[in-house]
Amino acid sequence: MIRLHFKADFESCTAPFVVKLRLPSSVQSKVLGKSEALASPRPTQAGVYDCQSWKRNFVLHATPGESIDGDVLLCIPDRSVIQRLFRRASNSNTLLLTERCDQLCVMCSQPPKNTDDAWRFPLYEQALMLTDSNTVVGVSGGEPTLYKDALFGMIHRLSTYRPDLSYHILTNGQHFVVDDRPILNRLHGCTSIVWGIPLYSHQEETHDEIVGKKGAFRRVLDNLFLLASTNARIELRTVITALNLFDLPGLASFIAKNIPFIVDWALMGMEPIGYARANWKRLFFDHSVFPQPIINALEISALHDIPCHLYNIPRCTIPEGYRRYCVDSISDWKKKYLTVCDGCSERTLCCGFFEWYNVTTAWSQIEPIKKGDLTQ
Amino acid sequence: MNRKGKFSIPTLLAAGLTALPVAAGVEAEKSSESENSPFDHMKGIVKNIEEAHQFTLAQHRSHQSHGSHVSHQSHRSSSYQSPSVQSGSQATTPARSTRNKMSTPPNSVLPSSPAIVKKLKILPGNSGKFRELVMRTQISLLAKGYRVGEINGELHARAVAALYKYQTDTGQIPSGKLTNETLSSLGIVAQ
Repeated sequence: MIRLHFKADFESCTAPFVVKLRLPSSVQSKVLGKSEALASPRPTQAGVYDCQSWKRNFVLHATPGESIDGDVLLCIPDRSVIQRLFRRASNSNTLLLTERCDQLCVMCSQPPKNTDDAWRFPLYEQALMLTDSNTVVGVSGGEPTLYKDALFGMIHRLSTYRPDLSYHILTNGQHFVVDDRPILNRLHGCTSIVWGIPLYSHQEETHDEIVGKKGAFRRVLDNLFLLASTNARIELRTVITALNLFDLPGLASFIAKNIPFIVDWALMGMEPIGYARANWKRLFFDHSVFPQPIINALEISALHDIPCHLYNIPRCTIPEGYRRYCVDSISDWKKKYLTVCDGCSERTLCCGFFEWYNVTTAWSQIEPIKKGDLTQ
Repeated sequence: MNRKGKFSIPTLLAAGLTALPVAAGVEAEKSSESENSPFDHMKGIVKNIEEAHQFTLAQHRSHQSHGSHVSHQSHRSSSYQSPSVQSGSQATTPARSTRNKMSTPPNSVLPSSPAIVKKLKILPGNSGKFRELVMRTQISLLAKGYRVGEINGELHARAVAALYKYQTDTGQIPSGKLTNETLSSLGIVAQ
């Protein structure tokens, strides 16, 4: 597991700031940018770096052997903590905009906290200015659109200086209003944004029950159409639980009939942490034994030409003919492979397992896929 | 998470199959009495067990049946393509012989009369009785040679898979759900 937080010792500074780390080996000239910090590794201690930036000095305690060159860090001297916002070596960099949320999904992997996160936004904006070119920025939470004015403003300002950035924003789609249309139109005109919006069932009660909010289903549908009217690219996300498993074929038809304008439909495995782990017994359904509803949903989507993918689902739990839908989707920092995966011929294509995946509470049919299966 | 009040089976109710909980012996008399009922032709498939159910199980929601029908589309189309589709003169007579019985059961497509529908008590999925029914289903599926996994009164994946297989094998709508129809065909009474 790759750590996203490092300990650090700061000298004479208290306010949080953002820096981009550079190792001496990668710096061509001796001149560093204002927001860059030169990290010289200590010869005696592995993983400890003395960092010097324009005004501030600090000591970073990183994991030995891990590449930190080019990482964008959020330094919080008060807590002696450094948060790695963007890692150069990673393809999945996500900004946790806020930890607040107005929905309480039964399988939430990141239960909301009532914290005040507004102080982070200007720092995030600085961090985005420092990222490598063509980064895909994941924006998540919590519910990012609780601070939609700040979010829209940030993206709009950045679109001038960093038109190369593209965004993947995970939102529950509850907070858009008709008045947002001008700004949304403008954003979709100048930046590449994919909105990841969850829809768990085609039945109002089931969806509302899963997200723990009355009326959420109607709201999200209204806002899907609102977003679509502003040329938004929408990715629907459906987490598969025992509560909505049997609704999947119906949901597929519903999507084909009513929301065919989406760019992707992601059927996702649960992440066994947070509420999902607490409710695991009630929510988990072993689809490796009974994949029928998932397969029906995939076939209906294929029939209606709705692009569809399986996220967070290991390839061996899905029947052979449908493995092409599986995506290597688990972020690198929380991905692992089991010991049985060693002999698997499709390991490189597979999403693997979440770091917190527990063998005793999960799919019963996990076995390495033999070579030759690939040809079929 | 209150799932109470969501269990009911529209198809059986609609056709009045579960209408009156008469005992096995009374059934013959009853059929002679109601000779003129528009549902006469259904009598043949009304089983004693179905009459004895005192609970309904499957969830009743507006779109619920769609999900289960979808997987079934190929069967349905084959029945429509069959050359023995009833002609105009046959239209007034019951279409029993020409229907594909392996497909959607007739009770789900026939019109319903509110008078004939008897409200069955809904059995919540978290009740002890429901677990008992599930356990009996598991045992009886096991006896029929299906791999049902652990017999614990829970509709876990293995049990659902067995149920689905059984429903497919017996020509019911394969849904993986415990319905009164499935219970009846296994000889289990929901009471």
